[in-house]
Amino acid sequence: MDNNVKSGKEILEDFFANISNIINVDKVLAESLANLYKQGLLTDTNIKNELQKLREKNVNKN
Amino acid sequence: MSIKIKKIAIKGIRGVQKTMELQLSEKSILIYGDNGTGKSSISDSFEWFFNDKVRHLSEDSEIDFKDALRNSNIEDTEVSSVEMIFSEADVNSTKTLNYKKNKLVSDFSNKSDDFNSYLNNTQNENLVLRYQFLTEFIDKTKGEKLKSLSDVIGYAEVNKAKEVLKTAYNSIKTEIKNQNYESQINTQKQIQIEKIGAAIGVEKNLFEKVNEIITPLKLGVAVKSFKDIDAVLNLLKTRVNTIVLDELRFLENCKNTLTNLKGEISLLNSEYEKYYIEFNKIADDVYSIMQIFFAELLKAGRSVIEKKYHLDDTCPLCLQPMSKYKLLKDIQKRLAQIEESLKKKTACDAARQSIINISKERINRLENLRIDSHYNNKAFEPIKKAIDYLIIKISSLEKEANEKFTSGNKISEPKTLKLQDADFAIFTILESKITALQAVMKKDNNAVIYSNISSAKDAFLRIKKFEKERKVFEDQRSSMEIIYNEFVKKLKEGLENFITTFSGTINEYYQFMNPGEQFQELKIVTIGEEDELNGITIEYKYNDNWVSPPQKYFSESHLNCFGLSFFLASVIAFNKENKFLLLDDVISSFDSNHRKKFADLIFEKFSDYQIILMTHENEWYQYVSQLAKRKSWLINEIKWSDTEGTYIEDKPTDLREIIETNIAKGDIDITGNPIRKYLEHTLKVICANLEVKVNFRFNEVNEKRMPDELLNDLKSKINKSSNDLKSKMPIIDRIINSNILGNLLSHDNPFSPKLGDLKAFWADLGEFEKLFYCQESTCKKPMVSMRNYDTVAKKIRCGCDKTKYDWKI
Repeated sequence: MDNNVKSGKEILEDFFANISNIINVDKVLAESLANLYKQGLLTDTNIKNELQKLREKNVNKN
Repeated sequence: MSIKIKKIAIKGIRGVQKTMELQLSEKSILIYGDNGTGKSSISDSFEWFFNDKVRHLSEDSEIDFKDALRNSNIEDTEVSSVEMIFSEADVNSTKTLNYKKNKLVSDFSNKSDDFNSYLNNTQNENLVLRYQFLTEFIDKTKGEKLKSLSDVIGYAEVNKAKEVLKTAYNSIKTEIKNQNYESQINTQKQIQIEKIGAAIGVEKNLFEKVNEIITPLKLGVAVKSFKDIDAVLNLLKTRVNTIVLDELRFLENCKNTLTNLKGEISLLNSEYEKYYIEFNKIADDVYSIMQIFFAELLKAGRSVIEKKYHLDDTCPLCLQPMSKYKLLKDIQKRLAQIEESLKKKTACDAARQSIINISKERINRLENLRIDSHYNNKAFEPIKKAIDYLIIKISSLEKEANEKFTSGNKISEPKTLKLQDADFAIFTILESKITALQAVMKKDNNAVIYSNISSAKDAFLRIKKFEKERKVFEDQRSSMEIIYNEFVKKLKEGLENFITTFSGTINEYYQFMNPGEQFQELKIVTIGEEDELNGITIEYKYNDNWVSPPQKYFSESHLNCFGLSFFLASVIAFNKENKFLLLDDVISSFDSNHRKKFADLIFEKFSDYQIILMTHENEWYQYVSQLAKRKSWLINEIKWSDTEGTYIEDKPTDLREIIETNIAKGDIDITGNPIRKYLEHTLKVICANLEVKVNFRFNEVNEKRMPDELLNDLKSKINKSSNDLKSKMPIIDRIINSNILGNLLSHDNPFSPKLGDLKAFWADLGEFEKLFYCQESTCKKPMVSMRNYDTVAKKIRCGCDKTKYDWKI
């Protein structure tokens, strides 16, 4: 079988390693998702909290 | 890594009471065993060692799995174990199961990171296939197939991440809808128009407008910033009645909040209506939704039939006559319906969550008014009551949304709960109170201007705040949408790439076992569009038409061939650490043609794998053993006895091959047991042939003669009987005096001689054997035996008379 077939883990690793390079995506948001993934903390609650923190930070800017 | 197995030693597990060793030396093995001899003890041991469970035991909650794993005849003080010696010594380990404080606990002897990593990587590999699990993939629903395949290929985690991203993305969309920024901004613009005659969105314009308003007051301040506006307000504050201003501010806040809420009547009502419709879809079809709770029961029933725990053509529950095939089909149909019901429930849950979130946000806004000190002002009692009433009314929407559809209760109709203009009748009182306070203020121009500028400034800042929040939300929504879409794209690409390749391999194996048949181009196909992948189905071409599902025209043998092809393709695709697999009676329901083809497939396509192939089908065993011999496989038979339970008899020819392979590879540590067994077997045969007398012992203890006892008795017999053989005594003495023999007989020390000593001992043993075995290839009875005793020449000899020694009787 073709060795280029990616396992689920490889798909996840590749995706989160390159998430910041996706065009028109907020880099800070992308990096925070990548960090959650790296730490094994990618859950909807953690993402929601992280997004809320980023929103508060952005709203309070200036 | 390409790990193979050198040795498996099982003790006290399932049918195995005493130690059963499989000396494999990385070779494949064909094992024959009648039903009931305990073949599956080997596959159970495999599963337990690698996966810490045995599916057919673990899936039954009635069975205490660890207790069932232990052989029932061993004492509680004994330790059950599975020892695995691999081609990579770093991952060798023994897994034990024994009682500690009245509890069965398991443990591995190898605690290294290397072993843990190996064991972890092995979790997703396909190492064991049993007959009862052959067709389980085919029999799953399309959704289960997707899940199952995703699990097998490690996409379960990817699907989980997809769901997490989707939930997070949807929660942002919901949050934006809940906030209803458009309405909030419009309310603030309305305030600006009311107070300063214009809706202003640019700072500079606001400052110009304030300058225009304060010019007649000649305050000596030119407004160019918000600081300047605050300075103007401070100046004006010293000239006005602040109590009236505070009351007016409270009333205007109430008015604004209620105006905003009134503007959202249709949002709240329509969201509740949506929920009401979804809830009633379920309530109208509560039977099908209740079926969701039967899913587990149906899956358990399917499992009972598939694994052949229930063999009669009756329903396993009610025992009414029914064909198993029809029953299985009915269960499949019901499970497919349950998948549909689940979709309805998901839609209802989404509508429920939406009305809960929207209600909560509005209640929060009203609760904020309650914090104001004027809220309990007696003069504003009607306003307080109106706000309290609205909180209760909106809370009732939330309460209805928390109703469980299984309760059997109906939820209130939208018309009884809907918010309406009449709920905001308090506006008349509010307006009149505001007008009255404004009238008081009108007498004081400074107070009017203060109020107008203050309100317009606050409205401006709120608009900016809402706009900023909305933009931040929208930016996040947009980013999350792109991320989610990109993720789904990668997932689909990966899955489709895998499925295309995987299908090719399945088809190749299937066609190999079914050449020239009408079922062509077998493949697995994804179902679903856009971002949703709903399931997987299996298709093939039959008479040039695409057919799905496969059960339509497939016989049981065809279905099993597909199951085998699927498993073997999974082995090729996912087994990265291990180069071995165990096939436990997988051909039971195959017809003879498919059986032979399967054997050919294994020998042709999996020649680089170490296969442990077990069967109870004698005819097939005979066929495969011919092929296996040619490919240098080991061949053995599993037996069962009262005293040993399941055991395997090592054949001297196999033992000799294993010992020589181990010595050539320098694998000394696993050679002790085979060499001891070989020596025991050889001595027993020689002593029996020469009628060497040994001390009497009872029954099975008689079988357990140690090599040193037999050697000494043999030596004694030779001394009494044969001068010819006496001259050969140095060979026997070399064996008796060898430190290897001492090491072999010691139970306290591991077998760890020097390789050179072991080689010398093995050579001596060969020389010793030659004394009693004729080396002529034409000799039909090569063993030197009393049976061939020459009474005239008084010699013991072999059948061809070539090897002979004097022998006194």
